Amino acid sequence: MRNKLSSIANCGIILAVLLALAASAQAQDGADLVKQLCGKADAPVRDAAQLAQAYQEAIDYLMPLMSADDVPSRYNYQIMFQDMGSYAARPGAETERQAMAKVIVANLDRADMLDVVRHWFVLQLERIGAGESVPALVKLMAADDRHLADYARRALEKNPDPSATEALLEKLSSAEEAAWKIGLLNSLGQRRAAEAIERIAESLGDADPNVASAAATALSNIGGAASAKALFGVLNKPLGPVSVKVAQALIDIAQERTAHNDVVNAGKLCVAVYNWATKLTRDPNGPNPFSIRVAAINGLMTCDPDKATEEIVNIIRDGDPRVGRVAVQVARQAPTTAPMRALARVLPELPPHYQVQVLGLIADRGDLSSVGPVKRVLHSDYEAVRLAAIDTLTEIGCDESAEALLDIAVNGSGAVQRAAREGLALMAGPRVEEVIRASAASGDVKKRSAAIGLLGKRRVPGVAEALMGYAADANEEISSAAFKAMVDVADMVDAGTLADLVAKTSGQGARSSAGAALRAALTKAPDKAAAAEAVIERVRNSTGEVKVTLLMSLDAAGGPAALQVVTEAAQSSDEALREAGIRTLGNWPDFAAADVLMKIASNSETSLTHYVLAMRGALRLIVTSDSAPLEDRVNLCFKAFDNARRDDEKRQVVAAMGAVPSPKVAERLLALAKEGDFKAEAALAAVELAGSMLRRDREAARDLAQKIRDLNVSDDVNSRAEAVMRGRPMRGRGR
Amino acid sequence: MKKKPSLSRRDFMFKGAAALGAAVVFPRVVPSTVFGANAPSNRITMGMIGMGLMMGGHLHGMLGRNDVQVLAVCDVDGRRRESAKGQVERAYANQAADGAYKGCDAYLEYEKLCARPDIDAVFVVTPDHWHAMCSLAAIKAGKDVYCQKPMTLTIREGRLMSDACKQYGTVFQVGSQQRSEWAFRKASEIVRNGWIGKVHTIYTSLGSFAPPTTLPAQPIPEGFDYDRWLGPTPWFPYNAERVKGDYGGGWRRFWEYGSRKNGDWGAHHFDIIQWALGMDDSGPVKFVPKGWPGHRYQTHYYADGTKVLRDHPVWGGHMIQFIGTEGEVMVSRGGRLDTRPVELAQAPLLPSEIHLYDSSDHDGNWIDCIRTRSTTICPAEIGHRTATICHLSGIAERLGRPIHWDPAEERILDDPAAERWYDRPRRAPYVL
Repeated sequence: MRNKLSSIANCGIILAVLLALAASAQAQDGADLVKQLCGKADAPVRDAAQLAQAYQEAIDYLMPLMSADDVPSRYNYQIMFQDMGSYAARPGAETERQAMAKVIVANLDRADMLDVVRHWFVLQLERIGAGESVPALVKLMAADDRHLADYARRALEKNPDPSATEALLEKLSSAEEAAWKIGLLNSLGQRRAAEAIERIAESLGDADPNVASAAATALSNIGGAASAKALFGVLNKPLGPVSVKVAQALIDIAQERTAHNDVVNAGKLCVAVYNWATKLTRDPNGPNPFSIRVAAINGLMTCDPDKATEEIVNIIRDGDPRVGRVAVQVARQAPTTAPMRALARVLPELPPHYQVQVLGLIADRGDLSSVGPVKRVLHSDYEAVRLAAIDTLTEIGCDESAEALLDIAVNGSGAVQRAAREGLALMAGPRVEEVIRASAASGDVKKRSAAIGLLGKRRVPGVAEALMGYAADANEEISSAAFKAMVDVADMVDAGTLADLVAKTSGQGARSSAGAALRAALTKAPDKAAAAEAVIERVRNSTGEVKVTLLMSLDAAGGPAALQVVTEAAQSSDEALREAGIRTLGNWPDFAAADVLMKIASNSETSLTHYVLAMRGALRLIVTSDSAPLEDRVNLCFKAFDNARRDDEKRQVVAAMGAVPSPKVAERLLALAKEGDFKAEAALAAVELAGSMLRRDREAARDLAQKIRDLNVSDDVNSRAEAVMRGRPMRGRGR
Repeated sequence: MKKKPSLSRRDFMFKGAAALGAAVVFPRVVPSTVFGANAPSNRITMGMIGMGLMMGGHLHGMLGRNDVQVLAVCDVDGRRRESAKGQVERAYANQAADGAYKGCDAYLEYEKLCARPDIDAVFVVTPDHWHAMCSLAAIKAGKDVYCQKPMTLTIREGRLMSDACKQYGTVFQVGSQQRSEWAFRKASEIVRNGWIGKVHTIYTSLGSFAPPTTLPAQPIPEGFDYDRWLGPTPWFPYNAERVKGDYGGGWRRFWEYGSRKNGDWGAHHFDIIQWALGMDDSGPVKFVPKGWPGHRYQTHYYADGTKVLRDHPVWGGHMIQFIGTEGEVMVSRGGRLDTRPVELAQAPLLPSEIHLYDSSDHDGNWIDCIRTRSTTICPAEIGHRTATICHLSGIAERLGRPIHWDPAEERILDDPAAERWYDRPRRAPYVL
């Protein structure tokens, strides 16, 4: 007996395993089949019947998965189903598309299908369905599930088969609910179903304005004379809730006519709608469909530009400001320049806000013939108009514009002068460069200087040579202007040649400008060492102020050779040279100058001025030399603190320590924060240091902040320390 | 805002489609004295549609301007609507002498907001599937419009919006604000002026969302008009995740309401690529989904062979990398710009070179252009062309095959099933 029971149990287990294996194999088969039908696996050649069978098997596999209790898990299978449809509807696979669509249709009646799954099935028919799907979709439009009915309606809207139009039309005849009518009207409009015009036109008189509006939109989508006639039937009646919508629809039809080169009929539509809208505005208590007037005149601009131009000039002179403000845009979009020129002619007599807009229009069209009218408002009482006129002349870009702007660039003031200069710096166009070059070459010194400045700003090829020539001019103002302009073309200038020019320059102003130009050239030199060497050579061969000017440019180049020369100068017995050397060291770009600066600062014989300069230079290096070895920066901090002659400098050193992320510095700051004259500065610097350490070593940063908080130096320091402890340091010192 | 003229600038407006991409149109900053601005009657009156995540910055900015007055807010979520109304009224009350202000209306229906004759301009900052309907209603009512990116949900919507802007003279700004960042303009100028030679390959990083999902039905919260939230899109049961505004997902991850990352970040980066290539009035001709043979990355091609690879690693973690025959440009937000050769990044433009439209304040550019009736830095046609790239990339991804596109005729070629995606049918009673 026991053996028998055991045998039965074993058989049961085997059966269960076999069933599980069968189910798994079936699932594997289903997944493989779906892959084939999505084009993601090799598939055998199938005829229509075999395809139908394959799609049915795939759906049988997917359906339960698309309906699973675990709702999020359904998505992947929905997408597999969609991918099957996308692949079936690929170009050149009509047999597959049709087979799949038919299988979808055949499954729509399944009782075991969830509503949301049925929606998804119909959505696929929207994307791949054709004539074979229409009867089923028509049936679904009568479904109790209103969402399903609308899915079906949308699928018919996209269906390329003519029978879909018939179905939608038939449904419209019996439709009662407003939303449903709107959907059907919209579908017919989207299908551009000319055969539906008559029926849609009936809906223009629907009691529900939303339905009537949808009918107007549908007619505008279909377009053509018959639609326009139906819409005029409403527009010609007394004003109603859909009149404006109807007018918009007519404008759309006019645009469609224009696109088909039927400008005669398009023009008629625009005139009629424009007159209708204009007539309405005469009633002060009535509506003002100004946007309709704008759209109509815009349409007319293409069909009858003369009439439209005349009208926009009238409007902008004496019309509804809401239409007037758009009139300029109508002219901007016009196919010819006639409307712009008509507005340019009346420019001086327009109110300032229209002047600004019309000037913008002229600028956009870059019309050379409008320079005259623009110049007439160039000296308007309104700065905004003057600025707009300058912009416009800049845009037009010609010799006459350039002359006009040069005059303002020289004799103007404030924002207007700046605008003229900026405009000239960028102005392109015939003979502009010639005007500027000619003005730089001769004439009034003030004008020449301005033009020379523009040459630099414009950076045209060959300008560096021209500026070198002007820099050598005997007139200091011209020479100075040229050196200033060279800053803008410093990358084109040879430092050695420029240094020679500096040596020849007389006059304090020109030499100062020359020094600035030389610094700029050294900064931008591609080979800084070579450029520095060229200047060093000239430093050695020069004397007096020239030597000082050349020397003081060397920090812009940096490097050991330059540092050596500057260091020697800083120790010179010549007071002027010594001061120049120390000042230059104070601006040195890297940490290499630290030792010599400290040496100067710590020398008790150094004058107070030089001591301050050296100290400031050292402080700057402490804060900015991130790439220098940390230990060197730490040592510099301590030396600077120990050698500071006055408390002011000691405070500055303490503050600078906050930028040096070192445990030694933290320790020193903590000690200083505990007692002594620099408690407040040290505590604040320590908190800053802690804040900057947060990213690298959160724990050490919090520990430091905690220690400062424990010292309770001040409320400000406490709150900053607490902010660091929270991991969100405050910005700024905010003392 | 600083002006930058160029010969090519006027080409943008008048020399037809081929030159549109050379756009350099600048708004003129007009002091308020000209318009008498700051007097209440001369302020630009504003309506705000869609008071969610993205509207925060816009609303804050508008409330801080003394030349703008926010008159109305609109949202399908009652709580959010009332909260926004309160925010507006508190802000104006703080500025009022008597500390009181009640003058902001809250609407459920954008149609009512757009029908108000006293509102000059509107922000449309809804989810993508509402952009076109709200914008078109505003445009046709004579309002100027700022519409968040991507401008549309479908290609047809963009064509309608761009045409309507021309018809109604609308000053329209698309919220592709990278155009108003210095580094992106400079990068585009470097490319446009040929400083890196002929560009042949572009990498851009868009990132990814979690896949879309099916969601169980949940009760619709009180005061939330879910039907209106869905609007023209297919009906699905309510679930909070579906309607959530979330940079990391929410409605953005669903195809029904956008183009996922192609629309989310592509609307920014593809837009800059269009700008840099001078293709603002045109676009690519072929879209290949990720994983298609020979394509490890989603790719689109321009007619000259230039290809754009999505999510290919970008040098230095940048957002976009342009690779030319003579150099490279890498650019990101926050003013990050790197070039090879390095000096290109700081090199100034010559007067004769192409100077692109210069704006440093995207919202401010729109306001300036409303006053001067100038063209904004990102008008509807540009927004439409960029959004088209987002949509076509998405269509190719969903169909699982390459899409060929004719940018002149704006048609998907030789694939009737793909052509159906040019537009999506709308749920009743929503009509475009």
